[in-house]
Amino acid sequence: MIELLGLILAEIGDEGLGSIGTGLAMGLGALGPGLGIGLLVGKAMEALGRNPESETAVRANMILGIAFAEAVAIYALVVAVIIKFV
Amino acid sequence: MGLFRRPKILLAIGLVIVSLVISHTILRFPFPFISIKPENLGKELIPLGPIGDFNLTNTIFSSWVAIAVIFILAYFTTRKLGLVPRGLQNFVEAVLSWLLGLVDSIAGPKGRRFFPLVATIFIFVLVNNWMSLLPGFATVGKIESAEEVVHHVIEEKAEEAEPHLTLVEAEHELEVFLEWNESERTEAPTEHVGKQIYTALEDRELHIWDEVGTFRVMPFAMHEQSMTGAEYADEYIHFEDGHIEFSEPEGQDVGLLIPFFRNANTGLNTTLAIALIAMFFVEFWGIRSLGLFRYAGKFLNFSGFRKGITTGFIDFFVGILEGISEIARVISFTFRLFGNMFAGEILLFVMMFLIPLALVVPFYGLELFVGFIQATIFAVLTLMFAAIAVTAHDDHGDHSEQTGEAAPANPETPAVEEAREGTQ
Repeated sequence: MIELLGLILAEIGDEGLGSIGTGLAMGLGALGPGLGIGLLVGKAMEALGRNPESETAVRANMILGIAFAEAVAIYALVVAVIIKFV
Repeated sequence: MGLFRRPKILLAIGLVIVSLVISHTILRFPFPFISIKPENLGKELIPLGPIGDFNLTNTIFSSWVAIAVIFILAYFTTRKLGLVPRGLQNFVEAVLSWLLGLVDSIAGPKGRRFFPLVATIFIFVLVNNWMSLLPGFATVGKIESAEEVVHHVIEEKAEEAEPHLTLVEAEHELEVFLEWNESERTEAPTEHVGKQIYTALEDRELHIWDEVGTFRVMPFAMHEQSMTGAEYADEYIHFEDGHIEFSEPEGQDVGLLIPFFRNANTGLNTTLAIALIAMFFVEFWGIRSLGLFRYAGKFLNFSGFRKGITTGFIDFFVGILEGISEIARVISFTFRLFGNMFAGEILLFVMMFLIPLALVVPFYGLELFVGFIQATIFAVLTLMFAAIAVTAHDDHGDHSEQTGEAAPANPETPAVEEAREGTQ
């Protein structure tokens, strides 16, 4: 089993492993922020439905929150780019 | 079938197909060489005495341009100040009063002392981000010839190589020596140097420019005129023991484009610098309004031990965690701005590569938005951290309102009124 794994790894090579790593870093890194942004916007829309006149405040805070959640995905992107290009 | 009864949809589909065909034949854009490190504009390091050597990178250069733009804007705004703002003054006042409103709504009237730093960060980051969307950024520059690319790469590897490599420069020629020890050096054998050069150039794509003028613009259809580094090495680099000779195709330059302008926030140096300045001022304000010992007490918190050993330990570790999060803020500031702007640049490049001219337009709109949002977030977070830093720990909350906080508030009141009068 381990020999087979070794053979596969040798076949993939360093560059291929790097590509897999890039994909994993970005894919897994985007998972959390995706969920977070979804929750955030969902809750914001809920709040907006209950209280339509607070639209400006809700929207501003929502965008701020989205930017925070998105920053995590951006960290993943930086890691992916570093794996790929450095 | 309903699709074909609507001429508008058909027209749109036709336009998309035509633009796809055109873009993949005539306008094809090369996939650019993406470098995380800002490129050097000068060939040599600029010595700055005790501070160390200084790289004139294109990010630093464009941040200087941004500073110049802000300076010129400020000069022309304040040259003729009217009681009733018009023109440029109106615009700048609108921006500043929006910022002032933001500061007031988040930090309250006491937050006005944070306004200069917060506004400076906002304006600097915003001007940098939006300037990078102008034509000429990342596309106009000079060429780093293949010779220089090879030189740099060998120079980088020379230190690590065992034995050390020494380079001696000559006209279109490099002499490479193996340095065995202090006094003994021999000419590097062909294979040794050749292997180094091949590994250095393998994954680079070099572009070929016709020799016209000193400024180079990244044109369309550049992929027709490119070769890989390995191809270049095969054709134009001649190895002999200890010597590397470079030649170039007649009347053409081969190399990588080094743009003169690059968004300053796509270099880690700039964002780290802004983050350090912001956090320095946050700590400074914290210490000034609470005093050194009370401010340090936030992070080395022993006061909980009075209530019992368990509470004491919990409070102590909460304090330590707060200290760590203070350091983490610098990193998070740095990477948030850097990552967003760098990702934006790559996004534009990739869209330009997929469908030139057409697809990139909506993403320019997105980048305008992201540039604004990131500038706002940097400024607002600095403001929030400053507001948190100047409020005392919960245990002493009421106490500070009477002594520490009330004192600096009084001298500020006239200034606030003055500022209000100024804006009216």
